This record gives sequence, C-alpha cells and structure tokens, in this order.
Amino acid sequence: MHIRIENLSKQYEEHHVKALNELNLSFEKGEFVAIMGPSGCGKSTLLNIIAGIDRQSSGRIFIGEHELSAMSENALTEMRRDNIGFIFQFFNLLSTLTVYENVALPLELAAKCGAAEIKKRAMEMLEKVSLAARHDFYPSQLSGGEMQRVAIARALVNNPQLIVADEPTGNLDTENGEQVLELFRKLCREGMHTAIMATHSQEAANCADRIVRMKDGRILESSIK
Amino acid sequence: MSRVFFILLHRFILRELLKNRVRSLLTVLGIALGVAVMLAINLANTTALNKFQESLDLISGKTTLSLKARTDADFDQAALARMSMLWEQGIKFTPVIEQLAVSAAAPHEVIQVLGLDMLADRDFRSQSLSSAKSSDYSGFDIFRLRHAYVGSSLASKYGLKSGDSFELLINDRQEKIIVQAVLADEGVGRVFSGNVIVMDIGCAQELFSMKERISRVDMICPEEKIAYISSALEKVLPSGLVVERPSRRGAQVEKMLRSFQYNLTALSLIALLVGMFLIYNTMSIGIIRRRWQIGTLRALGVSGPMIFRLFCCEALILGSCGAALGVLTGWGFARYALVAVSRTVQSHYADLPPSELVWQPQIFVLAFGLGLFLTVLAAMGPAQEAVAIPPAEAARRASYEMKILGLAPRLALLGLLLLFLSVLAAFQPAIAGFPFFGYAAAALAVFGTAALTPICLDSSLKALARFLAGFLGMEARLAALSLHGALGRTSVTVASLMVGISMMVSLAVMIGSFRHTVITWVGQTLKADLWLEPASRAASRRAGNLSYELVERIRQIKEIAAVDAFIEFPIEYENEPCNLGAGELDVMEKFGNLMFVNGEQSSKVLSRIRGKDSVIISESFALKHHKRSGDTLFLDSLSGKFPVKVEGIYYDYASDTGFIVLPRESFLKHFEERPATTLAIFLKSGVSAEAVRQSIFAAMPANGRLNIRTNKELKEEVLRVFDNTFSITYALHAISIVVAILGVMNALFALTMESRKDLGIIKYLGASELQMKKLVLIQAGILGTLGNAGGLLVGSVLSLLLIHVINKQSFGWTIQLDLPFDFLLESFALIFFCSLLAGVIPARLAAKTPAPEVVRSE
Amino acid sequence: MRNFLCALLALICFLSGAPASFADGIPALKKYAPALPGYKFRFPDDHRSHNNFKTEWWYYTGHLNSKDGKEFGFELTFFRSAVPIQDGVKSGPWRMDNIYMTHFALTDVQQKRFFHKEKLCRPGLTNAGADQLELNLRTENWTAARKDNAHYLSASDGDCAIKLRLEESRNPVIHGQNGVSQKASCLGCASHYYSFSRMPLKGEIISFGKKYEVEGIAWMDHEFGSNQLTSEQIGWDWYSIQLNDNSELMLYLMRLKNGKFDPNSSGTIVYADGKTKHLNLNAYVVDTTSFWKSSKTGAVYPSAWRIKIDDEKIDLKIEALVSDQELASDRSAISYWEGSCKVSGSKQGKPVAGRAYVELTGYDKEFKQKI
Repeated sequence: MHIRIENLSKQYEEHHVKALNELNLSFEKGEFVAIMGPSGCGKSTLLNIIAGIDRQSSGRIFIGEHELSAMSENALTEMRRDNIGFIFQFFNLLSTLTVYENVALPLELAAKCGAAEIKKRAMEMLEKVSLAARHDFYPSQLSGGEMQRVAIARALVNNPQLIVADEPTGNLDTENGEQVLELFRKLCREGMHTAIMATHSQEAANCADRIVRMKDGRILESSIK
Repeated sequence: MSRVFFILLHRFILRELLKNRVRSLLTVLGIALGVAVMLAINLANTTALNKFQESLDLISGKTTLSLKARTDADFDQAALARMSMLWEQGIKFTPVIEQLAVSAAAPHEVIQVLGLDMLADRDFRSQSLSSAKSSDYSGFDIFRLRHAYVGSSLASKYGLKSGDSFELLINDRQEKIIVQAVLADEGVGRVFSGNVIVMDIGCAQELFSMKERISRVDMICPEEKIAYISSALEKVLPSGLVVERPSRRGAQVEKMLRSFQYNLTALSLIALLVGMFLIYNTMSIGIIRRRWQIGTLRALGVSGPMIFRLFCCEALILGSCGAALGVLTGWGFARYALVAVSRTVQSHYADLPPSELVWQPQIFVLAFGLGLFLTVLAAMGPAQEAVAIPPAEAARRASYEMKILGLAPRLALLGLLLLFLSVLAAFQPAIAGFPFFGYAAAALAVFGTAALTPICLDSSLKALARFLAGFLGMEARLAALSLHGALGRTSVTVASLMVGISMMVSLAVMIGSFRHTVITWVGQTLKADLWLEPASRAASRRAGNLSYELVERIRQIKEIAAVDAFIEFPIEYENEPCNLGAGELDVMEKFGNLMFVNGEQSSKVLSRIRGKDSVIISESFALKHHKRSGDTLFLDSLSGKFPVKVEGIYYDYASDTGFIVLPRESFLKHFEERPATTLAIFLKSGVSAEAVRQSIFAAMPANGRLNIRTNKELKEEVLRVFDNTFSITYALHAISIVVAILGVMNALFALTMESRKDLGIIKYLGASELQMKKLVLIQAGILGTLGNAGGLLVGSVLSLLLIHVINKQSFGWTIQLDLPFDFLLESFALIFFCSLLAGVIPARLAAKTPAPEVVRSE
Repeated sequence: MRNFLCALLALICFLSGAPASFADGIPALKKYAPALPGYKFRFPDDHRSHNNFKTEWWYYTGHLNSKDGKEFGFELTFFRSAVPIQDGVKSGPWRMDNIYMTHFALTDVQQKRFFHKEKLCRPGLTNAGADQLELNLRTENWTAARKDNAHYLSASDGDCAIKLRLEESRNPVIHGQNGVSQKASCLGCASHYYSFSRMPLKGEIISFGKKYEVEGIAWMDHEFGSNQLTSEQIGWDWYSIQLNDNSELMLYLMRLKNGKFDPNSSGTIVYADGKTKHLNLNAYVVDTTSFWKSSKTGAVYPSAWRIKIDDEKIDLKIEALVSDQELASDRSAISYWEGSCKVSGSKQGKPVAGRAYVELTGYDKEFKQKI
C-alpha cells in the first residue's frame, strides 16, 4: 500500500513548537522504513497520525486511495482495524488476557471470520513467533522478548497492509532486541507488509530499507541503504 | 514524620485522590453514610433513654427507697399508716401518685401527672414556679380541687398561664384542670421534659378516681439503713408490696428496651460494614493500579513502613472526610431517627418524655472514631499488599492478578470455614437476651461468602465469557475475560456489591415476612366486631382504663352478644418486666380465636383453663423465660406467690415483653379488682357495628371519651402501628439501598477507570467507539448481575438469620418467611440499572480515550 | 404573741415562694371566729384544739439540769393553722382543713450548742393532728399529751431527743383583760391566751448523742385566735421569766414600722402565791444592752437586756446563755431567735436570779423586707 504525506503539520494546543512542520514523505508498498531522531522530534506523532489514532493540524495523508483527514471516525477505526497493526515499546499486551486471547483480539474486533477461523489464524501466528506452546500464559508470565513477540503476532494476525512500530526494541536487551527485530523484519517481508518503525537505535535502523532522520518536526534526510 | 513522608503524601496520595475525584467522593459518601446512620441511631437511642432516665431521676428526686406494688399497680394508702416506725428512724416518707393523662386538644400529647403531698414534697423533689400564681388567691390554692401547676413546655405548647383552664383526657373521660402556676424549668418542672402536671395528692386521687389509692411511697433513707429498713418494712407490709431503690425502675425500662436498642445499633453497624467494603475496594484497586509506581518508589529507596504509612494516611484522609461528613449528616438524620425510635418505644415499651436532640460529644467522638478506625482497618490489608510489592515491580506489570488466582483456593477454604462457623453460631442461644451469636453468624456469613468470591468468579466468569459471547458478541467475551483476568479487582468489587445488596435484601425479606405474618395473625385472631378503649389510650398504651359503670352500661346494650373486658397491666416475672392480662376467656372461647404455637384449636385450650388457676402465655414470654405448656409459673399476688399452670402458648406480635393471661375469675381470686383497659365486643348476628357504636356513645356520660373501632378499623390500626414501629427499619432499608448503589457505582467506576489503558490498547487494535462502549457496559452489567446474584444469596441467608435467630432471640416472635418477590425483582432491576448507569460515564470516557496518551502514560 | 406570724408567713412563703396577702371577700376563703372580749376559759376543756379559730399553738419551753450539773434549754411548739380554702378535698387523710407545724429546739448550755428542727404536716393518715376533746398533739413522732394533770412531751430527731413529764403545779394564768390578749387596736385583733408559767419537769433527753436524766421547770403557753395582726407590726420581742423567788413574768413588745412599740403590747406578772397582774406597755421598760449578729442569716438580734418595772421595783439583767439560738429556717426563709437566757437583778430591793426564754422575731432582713 502506497502512503503519501503532503505538507503535514501538527500543533498541539498546549505547545508552542510544532510537533510536525510541513512534512512531505511517501512510503512504497512492502517497504521497511526506519524513522530516527532524538526524543521529541515528532516520530511518535507521525506514526499515530499515519495510523489514524491522532489527527493532523494541516496537510494531507493518502493511504492507498484514501485521504485520512476526509475519513469519518468510524471509517478511520475500520481502516485501522483492518489495515494497520501496532507494535509498542512497552508491548502493551492486555494483562488480563492470555497470550492467545491477546493475539486473537484484533480478529475478534474485526468480526470478519468465525471462531474456528480466528483460532486457526491466531495459533498459526503464534507458531510463527514460536510461542504457540505458551498460548494460555498470561503476559506477566513471559519475558520481555516473548511479550514483544506476542505483540508482533497480534500486530500481524489480521494481515494488515501497514505495520507501525514505535521503538519495538527500546525496552529489550541487545540480544533479545536483535532477535525480535529479525523476526519482525522477516514476517514483514513474508507478508509484503509496509512497515514504519520509529527508533533511536542505529543498529535497529540498519536493518531497514530506508532511514528517515527527523529533528524538531522536520525531515533532515531520507536515505536509502 | 519526616519531610519525605509529607512530600510523598502530597504528591503520591493527595494528588491521586484529587485526580480520582469521583471515586474519592463516592468512597467518602459511603463511609459518611455508614457513620451517619450509626451516629443517628446511637444518638436517638441514647437521647430517648437519657431523657427517660433523667425524667425518672427528677421524679425520684432525693428518694433513695420506694415502696410500690409488685404488680406496678396502685395500692391502698393504708400502707402509709404502717410506716410510722420510719419517723423514729428519722426517715422521711411521702406518698406519690403517678398517672398519665393526654391533652384533649391537639397535639394529643402524653402528660405525666404527679400527685404529691404539696406540703411535704419539698424534702423530696425540688420545685419552683416560673410565674407567680394568680394573685387573688392565697398560697393554699394548690390544695383546691382541679388546681395544678403545669410544666413550662406544656404551658408554652398550649399557651397556658395562671388561671387558665386546660382540658385533659383521663381514662375514659375528659376533665378540666385549672392552671395555678407554671413550673420553672428545674426539678419537678423538668419531669417528662416539662410535659408535666403537678397536683396535690388528694386532688390527683379525685381527678383520677383512685379512691384511697397511691402509686408509690418515696423515702429518704440513708444508705447504711437501706437494707435494714427494707426488710423491716417488708415485715409489716402486705406481701404484694415491695421496697426497692428508685434506680431499679430505670434499670427495668432499660432491660425492656435493650433488645430493641441493641438490634437497632447492630443494624446501623451493617451500614458501616458496607462502608468498610467500599474502602477496601477503593484502596485495593488503587494499590493494584499503582503497583508500578509503588515499585518505583521502593526502588528509589522508600522504605516498606513508609509505604504502609502512606496508604494508611490515604485511608485516614478518606476516613476522616467521610466520618466528618457522616457526623454532620448524622446529626441531621438523628432528628428523624429520634422521632422513629421514640414512636416505637412509645407504642411498645414505655411512655417517653418528648425529647430534643442533645449534643452528646462522646457519641460524636465515638461515631467519628469508629468510622475512622474501621476505614483504617479496612485499608490495612491493601496497605500490607502495597508494602509487599518488591522494588523489581517497577519493571514488571500485572503480576498481582496472578497471585489472587493462586490464593483463590486457600481463600475458598477460609470462606468455607467461616461459613461453617456461621452455621455453628446460628444455633447458639442468646446471651442475656441479645442474639450475639446471631449477629456473629451474619458477619461470618458475609465474610465467608466474600472469601469464596474469587473461586466462584474464576469459574463463573469463564462460563459467562462463553455464554455471553453467544448472543452479545465478542465484546461480551472480552468483557468477561478481562474481568476474569483482573480477578483480584473483580472479586473485591463483586464482594462489596454483594454485601451492600445483601443488607438490602435481608432487611426487605425480614420486614416483608414480618408484615405478612402480622397480617395473617391479625386476620385470624382479631374476631371481635368492635374494640373499645379509653380515649387516653390513643396516645399512650399505658394511659387509662374504663370505668366500671361504663362497662356495665355497655353490657346492657341488647345488640351485644358478649363482651370481653380485658385488663392489662405491667408486672415483673423473675425480675423481668412483662404484662399480666386478665380476660373473660369463656367469651374468647366461644367467639374469639387465638393462634397457638402447637396448632391446637383456640377453644380447646381455653376450655381447659376455665375456672382454674391456669394461664396462657405469649410466645415471647415463653421464649424469654423458657416455659412450655404444662410448666408452672409462680405469680406475685397481694397475698404472696401463687402457682398457675401454663395451658398454652399463643402467638402475639403486639408486645415483645411478653404476656401472661389469666381467666378473669382466677384474677379476681388473687388480685384486687381493677378496671378494664380494653373491651372486645361481639355482636349478635345481623347487627350493624355502626349502630352499636352509636348506642355506646349514647350510653357514655357527657364527658366520656372513647375510641371505638370496628374490626376492619382495628386491623388497619394494627398495620399502621406496625409500619410506624418499623419506620426506622424502613429508613435503614432505604439507606441500605443507597449504600448498595453507591457501592455499585464506586466499584464499577473504579474498575473501568483503572482499565483505561487496556481500553486505549484495544482502540489501537481497531475497536470502534461502539465496541468500546459496549465492552464497558457489559462489564458493568456483569458485575452488577454477579453482585446482585451474590447479594440475593447472602441476603437470603442473612434474612434467615434475622428471622429465625436474631429476631426470635431478641423479641420472641415467630415470623413466617415470605419472600417479597415484587420488591426483590424491583430492586434487582434497580441495582442492575444503576450498574449500567455507573458504567455509562466510564464507557463514554473509554470511547473518547485519547489512546496515545493512555497507552504511553508510562 | 409568740411566733404566730412567723409560723404563718413561713408556711405561706414555703407554699408559694412569694408573699401573699389575705384579702377578704374571696369566696374560696373560709371565715373563722374572732377572739372577742368576754371569753370565759374553762379548764381542762380549753387545753384542747379550738378548730373554729384560725390559728392556735401550744408552746413549751423549759430549763433543764442534769444530775452531773449540766444545763439545757428546750423548746417544743405545736402550731395549728386552718387552711382558708373551701373547694379542697373534703374528707380523708388528704383533706386540707388544718396544717400543723412543730418546732423542736435544744440548747446545750455548757457546750454552747443549739439544735433545732421543724416539721410541717397535713393530717395524713397519722401524720399530724390536734385533738378537739383534750390536749393531744402530734406531728409525726413529736407528741404532747395531757393525762392526770401532767403533760407528756416527746420529740426526737437525729441525735437529739426529749422525753419529759411536766406537772401542772399551779393554775393556768390567763393573760390580757376580759379573756383576750389584745395585739392591736382593732376588734378581734387579739387572742385567747393562757400559760402554765411554772411546770416542774422530769425526764430524759439526748443532747447531741449523749443521754441525760434531767429535772427542771417548764413554761407552757396556749393561745388561739383568728386575726391578730396589722401590717404596721414588723416583729415582736417576747419574754418569759422565771425567778427563784417562785414568781414569773411575761412581757411582749410589738415593734412597729415607725420604730415604736404598739401600745397594745403588755405583760403579766405572776406572784409567788399565784396571783397575777396585767401590765400595760407604760408599766415596764426594756433596754437592749448587747447585740449578736447571726453568721447564717446576717440578722442582728438583741442578746442582753435590762428590764425595769418601777411599780414592782423590779430591775433585771437578762443575758442569752448561748448566743446562737437562732432558728434559722432552711426552707421557709423566715428565721427567728428563741433562746434560753439567765436572769439576775433585784426585786423589791432583794437580789433575785432565774432563767428566761426570749423570742425575737422580725430581725431577719428578709423577714423585714417581706413584711
């Protein structure tokens, strides 16, 4: 899915400085892009706006044919549910649900397939992140790396076209971080998912197809490896 | 305390409380209500009793010893002539007449009338006049017939001044007195809160037509001579008279009221108990939510005891706000509680002087302290949990929920143990007439079921998830699963709902059953066509009787088939107050119908008594004194004790002090004849009750005043009295509903607010607003339903305890269990609705949750 | 005069807490027979209670000596006062036709101690009464009765008691003139008044817990009337003097608001042979030579006197044996002084000595205000 950003600005009411300032950017289908920059440079804001969780102050975003700002809240939700997967720095698994239930949740929310189908797909996804054996564990019983693998499984389970990952390795040690990143990248490739990953880490960014550097809400450079 | 403590208190506790304003407020309200109810009832109880005691003390004055009839009746003044030996001992004594009259003008208030020897009484009681007497007369005017001093409150209520006349209902007549002067508000003038009339003893005898009879002889006897004098007097006086300390009267009344007051206090404590659950709920959810923060604080070097102190302080803050608010509102409630308590005591136990609330600091301190103490106590558990959080928790999340699941079986075992103990307690007898074990059983049942909640929820929530997913969709499944995942919080929430609802249910069932039982009883036992009592009895059950002449005249009315002239007066049996009744049991046998405990036919039992020294006793008497049919009682007559055989035990819901009923012939054999207090009139068939009522009025002297009720009117009256009696329980019931609803709202609000982050994540995962609203509402619904179900269950258990253990042991009444289905259904719906309502705000908030903020909040 | 007014006022004030005046013409009030000149005393019949008169009292005072030389004084006074209401209880013990007040006092001269007590009773079942046939008086357990020319007195309270037998050693002395002792100028403002001025007595007493056998002489007054006072009179001083020459003297002075004595004040001298002589106010002079102030009531009472009767060549010094013989009332708020005194001086040029009882009323401040 092609994503195009035109003159995107975001101004939070309570801040003077613009979080995003006249941004222009585009992502190709299947591309794996890392967005780098210091804290507060606007990475997360950009990701949230692309994912339809937050709204821009001005400018336009096209996801495929659709222009996001023209979409209703319901349409946005639907779009997010069907086309976008999320991965967070702090995993954000639902602590009250088991591993399996966490992974199955997006499918259930979408309500597009029956229970058997959901179970099949969720378990398949868990197989892919090698956690099928732990499907009835609660998140608190897992290690950090395992939790992030569950989060990846959850993000990918409904086969979204775009995956947004905000510092997915930020809370993991190097070894675990590498493993998770490797898995993430592999699965994105397999599924031809477009992936946008915000990160601090040069190592993490190095495995991306393209690195976009940001500072103070602007793009400094966009370099293809 | 260190500075750090206050910094932490401010940043970590106070801000948190302010941030969660709604929840803090609900919690504070819950505690406040508990404290308010307790305070109000205690204040009402003590005010009523203190006032009564104060009045008795004022009536006694300097009296240290009194001579009275064992039957509490009046007696022949000839006894005075046998007391002249006291003069040699330097002991003063004086006769007293104590009577009740009722103001003929509205408001028909009960007035204490004292007949004193106005020449000698100064030595016994202080009395002074606030207004000079009408100056025309000499100082001897108080000795003129119908002349009297009136208490100041009476004077102000009815606008009386010297020289005015004032109409009184005395027995079955209306009589006029002339106000000589108004008493100052001290000494005798404060008796019965100033609703008092003081006359010379001779004039009082004439006014009450109690020829040559007196109520008491008061003596001022030095302490060291009391034993000697008592025995010396009892030797020379008839055995029907007894010498006792005046304090005994107060003690007897206190005894009589004990059950009623203790039970009221116990019921009021239930509201506090529910308040405790609220606190526990709020605190534990707050602590669960802040585990990460607590872990961080610990990691930063804050000590365990400091954490403990911080949370205790949080409880202290909530508790003191709640208790303070409770004390204030309690003062407001107390006025109504006092009215209700007074009304009940008035109609069932003793004539209470009108009383106004008196600021009693000790009760305020007690209520405040108890509220605070229970709050902190309830917070101890959660605070201990907080201390146990290891510093490493800073890096982890959600481990607590697992712990409770592990603990569930152990908690369940504990719960079973408590329930077992509850069952044991339920079968224990009362201690000194108070169902201590009954209340213990109730508390054990509540805590036991609370401890069983986690294990029950563990399975039921899983089942619900499957079941609800079927027709409410995946949101329902998710809702149930989330609740299951947060089993700790869910358990606390459901348990506190359950406690609140169970209190409501149990009271509803108890009152409903009682009312139903009384209706049935009234329907079966009240058979007479007309009931007649002196007008003064309308205001006080202890005021007045019917003159012999009138009763005779009524007997002559030809439309009347039979009359049962019932005599009723208080006596003591084995030092416990009760009532003696004497009736024409042959009339009862033929026309009436009593319900006997063993199911025997009324006429059969009564026929056995005919002409014998046998009695029937009320159920409450039987239970209080452990008497059965066939047992022998020994009653005090004027000439000593005489034995009577118990021939039957009958149901009676009119009095919990108990009744012994003798046939009239036997009564006359052992006691002095006395006028009847009520008449049950049976008409010849085909005669109109209304017509006979008119003939009775016609037979009455011009100043005669009677209440005549038809069968239907009396039945209505009985229910009116019942509802009056239970007005305080109704109020408690209403409050229990409010507390239950507060509990529901607080718990749900807390739970949904605490899961905001999860909701944020779900939003990221693509949940629509509708889905999120639905999720939260279903969660609320599930909690409401589970709390309701549990509450119904526990409530049923509690109502069984109330009916079969607590009520029976306290009052000696058998109540037939009768479930008020309509009410239960309504309240179930109400609670369910409130649960949903409590979910609406969080649901809205959830739908509007700015996901990035909540999710990134850490 | 004795302390009739005192008793009455005490009673009324006790009952009402305020002074009350006896206005005529109120239908509720009963009428009583006035004490009019021409009354013929008949003894022993007149010892009884005369219920057609409003007030009446029997008044015993005396000087007692124990075998071990201790000296005592006593007072036992029975008052009857008719209650002037008509619509009260008519019969039975609670009727209010008369009320009875009794004062009992005992003076222990050596110990300088004074005991006094008051009883106020209605008839009751056995509480109080005065027989209308013979001298038989009772208020509770304080009694006086006459039998075979002897009077038997009995009273006890706490640690003081008397049980005495008094003999009528000579005929009663009738005071005043023509059967009346005038108290004020108006008609009927008088009483019928007689005394036994010397009654040898024997008996036993308990004085502050100690029992003594005693002998001595007593004085008995009996007076009855209906309306004896005017509002000008603020109090009176009364003296009963028994001299060792077997003569006695009774004097009273009615004090007026204007500081003078009422001209109706009078006295009676009883000679050793039993003959008597009426004394008008101008026949005797009483000078107060000393005062005593009560710490209880603040009243200042005379406590020593000089009495001169020139016609009889009597010149007597009278001194209170104990200063505090004040009957300070705790409830009537009316107090008076009535005490045993010693007498010395000369009569007809010969030295005489003796004992006296003196009554002083109207010195209490409150009493003055109230009157």
